[in-house]
Amino acid sequence: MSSTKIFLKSSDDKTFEIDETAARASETLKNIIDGGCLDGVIPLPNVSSNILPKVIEYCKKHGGDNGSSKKIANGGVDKDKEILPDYDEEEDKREKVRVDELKKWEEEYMDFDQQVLYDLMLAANYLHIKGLLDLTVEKAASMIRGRTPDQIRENFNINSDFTPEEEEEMILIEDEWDDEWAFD
Amino acid sequence: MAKTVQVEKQKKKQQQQRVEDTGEVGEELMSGDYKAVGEGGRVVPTWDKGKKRKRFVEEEEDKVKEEEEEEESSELLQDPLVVFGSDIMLMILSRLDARSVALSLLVSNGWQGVASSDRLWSSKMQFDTKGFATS
Repeated sequence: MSSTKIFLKSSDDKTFEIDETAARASETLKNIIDGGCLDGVIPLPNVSSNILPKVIEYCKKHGGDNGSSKKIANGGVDKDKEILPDYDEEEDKREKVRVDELKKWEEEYMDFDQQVLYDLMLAANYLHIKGLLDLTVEKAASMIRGRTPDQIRENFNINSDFTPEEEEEMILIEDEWDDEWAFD
Repeated sequence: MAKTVQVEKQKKKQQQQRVEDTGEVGEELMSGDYKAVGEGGRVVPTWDKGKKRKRFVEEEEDKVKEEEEEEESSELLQDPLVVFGSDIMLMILSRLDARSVALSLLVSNGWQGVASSDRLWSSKMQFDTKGFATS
């Protein structure tokens, strides 16, 4: 494991330090590092200094690991592992503890203002940090899931651009669906 | 945290008050300059000055108002479709159950466009036939 330091410069010209191994959690940074065009500082014109530390925090936690987010998605169990002949129960238990700990960390990590969510999502998308993008996208999805169109509009401050006639039609459709899905 | 916000808001109020006060002063100066116009003399530049000053004051007022509006809107999220575009919006919607996606159709014209995408619904159908739909 190399502990080469990489320097990232935010859009507002502030420089942050990150270990190369952590930086590799970002596909974009990884490509820059591997491409050998590393010239001291990597400028990130799309990430501001109030969001970059948060991104670095994520990379530090996830740098160098591979597929742990996939394991979380599978409910903490790596399904491929079960069919391997040298399947180690103890190892799996340790893995489970690690995944549980990571889940808890992610819960705390994702506890922030809604505005941060957007900035973080944009940064994760720009830097190609898949795990972070997944986390933020899931949080946004949770603000839509199971809500009525009115609640969604309120959540995201959206003005309905339907005409009054369309609006009426939408309400009718919504009521109809409500009845149809009532058994759910 | 809440305290500092309150203090900031108070500061802003004071600032606006000050701007309003100077606004009045600016107008007084202007009317004074108008009298000077009646008496003749080198009035145009001073009148201009007054006008500029008035404009400056108005601008300042607008700035304060804009800042206040920004402060308000920063607590509210914008439409994710507008901020992120349809690609990420599709990623968000693809995590939802079919019913939630269907209700997303009714949010706005833009949302209807994304939420009705075939790509989204074909994956939803696969999900349903595999029996994961209840998750």
